[in-house]
Amino acid sequence: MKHSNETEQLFQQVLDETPKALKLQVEWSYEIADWIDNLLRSRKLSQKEFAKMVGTSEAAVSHWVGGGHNFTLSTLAKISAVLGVQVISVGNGLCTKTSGNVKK
Amino acid sequence: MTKATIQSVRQTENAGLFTICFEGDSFTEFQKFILKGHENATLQPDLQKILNAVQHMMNAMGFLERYFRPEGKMRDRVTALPIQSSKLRLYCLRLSDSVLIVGNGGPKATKTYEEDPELNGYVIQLQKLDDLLRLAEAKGEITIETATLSGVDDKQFDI
Repeated sequence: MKHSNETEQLFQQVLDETPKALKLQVEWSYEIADWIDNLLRSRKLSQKEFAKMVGTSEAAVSHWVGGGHNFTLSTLAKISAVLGVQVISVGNGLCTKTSGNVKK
Repeated sequence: MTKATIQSVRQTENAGLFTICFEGDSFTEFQKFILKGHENATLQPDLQKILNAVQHMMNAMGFLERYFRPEGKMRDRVTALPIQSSKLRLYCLRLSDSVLIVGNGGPKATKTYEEDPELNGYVIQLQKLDDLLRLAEAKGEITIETATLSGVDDKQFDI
């Protein structure tokens, strides 16, 4: 099969030009989507049941697990509260800033 | 009717990405889609999101069904890769969790793709290719394997 070098180079060029923050946003949205989907499967919860627990629509949950969703902190907090598992953690621990120095 | 070939774009351990090239065209369909977004400042962030999503899938879980929105008809494998809050659509043929053929796409300004002749055309192209691939699969000429397609080497499809 012919390999299209030109298409791959253009694909790579766009990836290389993507701002780091946007790359992270995409990666995190898919990682969170996979994490929610795995948790629902392991707990044998349907999207409909989970939607009811969180107080949202089934369509919203479908968007969450579909990847590419821009989760708000409010949504992540609701999901964490309902599932009893923390979706996000901040850094590697708690940091406090004192007089310009960051202490861990 | 135009003759088209399937060309590979990128391969990882988990997934294979392919596109279509029509006879006489200088660009593949995926190239045309990328150039459309790349040259438009408004569409560029959405294009970057879509391509980074594709790359993430190739490195992680593959082309899982839940990542894609079914388009076309119930019987075909035509899907769209939308990104939330974006109108940009990339139309694809999701043959398995590890094989994706990407076509063309563009910004969706109408409620349904059928109302937009350009987008409708891209979906119809993929529907036709899907029919031909199914036929070839049934005859045993083409096999969908992990991250690759066998038997399409020099095969031309009348789309």
